[in-house]
Amino acid sequence: MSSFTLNSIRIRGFRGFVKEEVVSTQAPCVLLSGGNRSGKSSLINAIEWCLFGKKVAEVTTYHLRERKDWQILNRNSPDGYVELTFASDTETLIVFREIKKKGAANFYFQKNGGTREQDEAALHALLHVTPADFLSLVHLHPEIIRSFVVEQRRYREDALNRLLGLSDLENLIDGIQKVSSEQFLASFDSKFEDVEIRLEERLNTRQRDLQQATDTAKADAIEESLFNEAGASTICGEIAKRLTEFSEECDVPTPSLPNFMILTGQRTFLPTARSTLENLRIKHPSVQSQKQLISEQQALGNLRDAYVESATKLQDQEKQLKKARAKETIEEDLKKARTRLKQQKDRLAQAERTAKILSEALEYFQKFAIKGSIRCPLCLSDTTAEHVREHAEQELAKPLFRDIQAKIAEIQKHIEKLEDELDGRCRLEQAAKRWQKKTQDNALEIGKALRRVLTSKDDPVAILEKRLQVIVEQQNKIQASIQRWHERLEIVNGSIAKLELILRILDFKQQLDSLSRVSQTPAFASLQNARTAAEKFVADLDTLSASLVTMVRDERRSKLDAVKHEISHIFKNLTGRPDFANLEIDLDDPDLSVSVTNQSESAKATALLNQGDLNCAALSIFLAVAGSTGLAHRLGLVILDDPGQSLDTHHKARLAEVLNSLCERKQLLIGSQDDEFIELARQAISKKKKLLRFTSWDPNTGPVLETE
Amino acid sequence: MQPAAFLSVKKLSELFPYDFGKLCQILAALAFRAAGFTHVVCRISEGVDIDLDGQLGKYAVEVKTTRGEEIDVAEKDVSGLAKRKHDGYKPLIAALRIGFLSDWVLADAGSLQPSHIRVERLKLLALDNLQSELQKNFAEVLMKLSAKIITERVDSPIVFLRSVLEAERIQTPD
Repeated sequence: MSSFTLNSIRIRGFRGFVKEEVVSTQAPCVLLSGGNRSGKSSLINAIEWCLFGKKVAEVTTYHLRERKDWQILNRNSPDGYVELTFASDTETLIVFREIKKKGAANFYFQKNGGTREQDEAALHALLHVTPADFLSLVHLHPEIIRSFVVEQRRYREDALNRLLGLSDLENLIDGIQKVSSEQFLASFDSKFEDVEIRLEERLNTRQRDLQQATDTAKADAIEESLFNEAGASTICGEIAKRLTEFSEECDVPTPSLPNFMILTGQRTFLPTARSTLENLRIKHPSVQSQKQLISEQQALGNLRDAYVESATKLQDQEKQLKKARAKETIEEDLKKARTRLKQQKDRLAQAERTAKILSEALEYFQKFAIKGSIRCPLCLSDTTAEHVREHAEQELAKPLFRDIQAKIAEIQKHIEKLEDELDGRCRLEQAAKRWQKKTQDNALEIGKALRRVLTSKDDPVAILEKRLQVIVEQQNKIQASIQRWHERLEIVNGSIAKLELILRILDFKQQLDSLSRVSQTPAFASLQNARTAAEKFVADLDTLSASLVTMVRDERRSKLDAVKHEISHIFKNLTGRPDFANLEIDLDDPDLSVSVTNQSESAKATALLNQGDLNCAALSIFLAVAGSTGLAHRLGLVILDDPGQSLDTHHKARLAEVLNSLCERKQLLIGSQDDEFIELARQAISKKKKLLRFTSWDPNTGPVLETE
Repeated sequence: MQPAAFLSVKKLSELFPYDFGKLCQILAALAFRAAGFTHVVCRISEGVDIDLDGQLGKYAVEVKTTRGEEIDVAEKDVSGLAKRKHDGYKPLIAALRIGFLSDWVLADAGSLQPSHIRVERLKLLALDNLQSELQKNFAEVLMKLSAKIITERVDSPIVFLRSVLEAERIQTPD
């Protein structure tokens, strides 16, 4: 299959182009001449954009910083397009791509005037070229040359990859390596660590508990061989046997104890055994007897106390009554006092009557003037009225009434006292009767309690004391039996305590074991599986990344090996250096050092070559790769954008000669602002040439082109 | 790892921080012996840590312990294993991370390069059956010997364990 060469470019609204221009490129060599901002680079870039679309403007695709924020559509155009017409010996190919501010843009390619096809991948398959290949095999971008000569390995490697068409693979490797696998895996590690720390904390706590329980059990002289389910079962058996014996002895139903062969049964056995034991403490006949005796002792003691209290009270009352009765004159004195009281009251009445007469007499004497002698009613002497009046006044002035009243009061007080004494004696008599009744009742109660009839001749207290003495003697006899019973129970209690310690140990052991079962839970397994999957994913990524790195290296080596001699050949022709004629790239060197060599020596290109030679080195690699017939694609076109930059006249002339040689195999499309280089190329290239001069550029109309 | 085994490992690592790696190596050698390897060589000073031969296969094992997520594989480890491989031993790496949720990982070391390697990554290359044998027998050997190592606490537990290796007819060339 023959290669396609570019016959024409129809362009409008693309970058610097405004109105439609149809540029014929039908010649083995097309020279584009013009200064900066004249539109020649727009024309060169239009070819790449038409073939590959907006990908060419993506910095990440080519690492061309120049294309950052690249504006494809001309600022003054609502839409634009580029149409390329290619021809080979037997075929024609039209590629059309449109750009619009709004609405869907059209793309198609048309082979031999046939159907318009819109599958871009099909176009790339037809031309056997990818966007990455295009930059290495067809289009030499000035930025790539600049990158290649910088000293940093990263930029040099980028440039070399672009020269060799390996950028897309490198991008893929970068993408894989940028996956933050460390953080990704660390998140799993962190989750596991959290779980592990918590489990370890619990483990340590449980271990301490277990150690303490074990120490306590050992201190209680429990053999270590019993610190297991079987040991606990043995002790349970002993306890059960004893409890059964004791129940029979106490004549109570045999206890229903849980199955103690397994740990869960042993756990329920413990409280059941304990409660059974506590029940047996009070069920023994001796304990029952003691209980009855104590009860009787308390009852008789209460009766005794009650009787003694009532008898004592009765005695007191009787003593006081006796004392009160000793005063036998109370009633006589009361009678005499009442007589005296009557006499005094009579006397007072008499005096009052006399006073009335005297008052009336005085009133009479004051009212009437009596003359002559009259008998004095008081002293019965014949006297004068005056004398009678004076006598009456004297009599009335005497303190007779006060004396009588005082005596009456005194007698009344005396009477009250006597009446109180008499009442007190009555109360004493009543109280004595009550206590006597109470004492008799208590004696009856005592009789009932002792089951005998007490006569008045019996001393209930003495009888009670005798009975209480008997009770104490009986209690003393039972106490020894109870002591023995408790001692036997204590042995079982000790076994229960042992069992409790062993069960505690077993519980802690079980808790420890259960901690280890966390790693057997579905949740943990799920987490572990996810972790393993993550680890595998990262491992696969690492493997993939390593494979891609190897692949890129191999591809790089393969491509460079194919053009190795051609690179040196071109480099020799371009630089004409007599000392170091060969150019080699050391792919085994991690720094991808570019060396210049001769038959006996080798030196790093960056250390030895000047800027012009370094540019020549980059050009040599590109031209060798682009001109290689071993690296097949169907674009018989090589585009060089400003290839003569940083070259002196001598080097430019040599480059022109090399391009002449390349033009034998490829159509050349060379853009340059360097008139000298354009002229040198015109002279050196022996094939037919077409010169397009970009004379000026206007924002509203675009570039002005002149064709020679 | 079972709680009791883990607690023993932890205790040993705390009591013998400098000898812990060697302790684990010797205990692992004893575990391999218990697993049925008839010929076991345990190199305590230099060389690949353990050689194994028997019905289960012929292996050379480099033993590593770590408190973190990674083990350090040195150039000498890789070259040592490569030599043993040349002698017909399949190279393995046995890694023990000290953690309650961890256990021995026994992995194919044929493609190992000197670097820090995640223990989790090694699991992807694990020889599951042999690894299970190591895990099980290591726990048993550990429970059998750890109390004695700890309670008798001689200046170096290695001295005591050497006698155990001898008793088990495990060769210790150095």
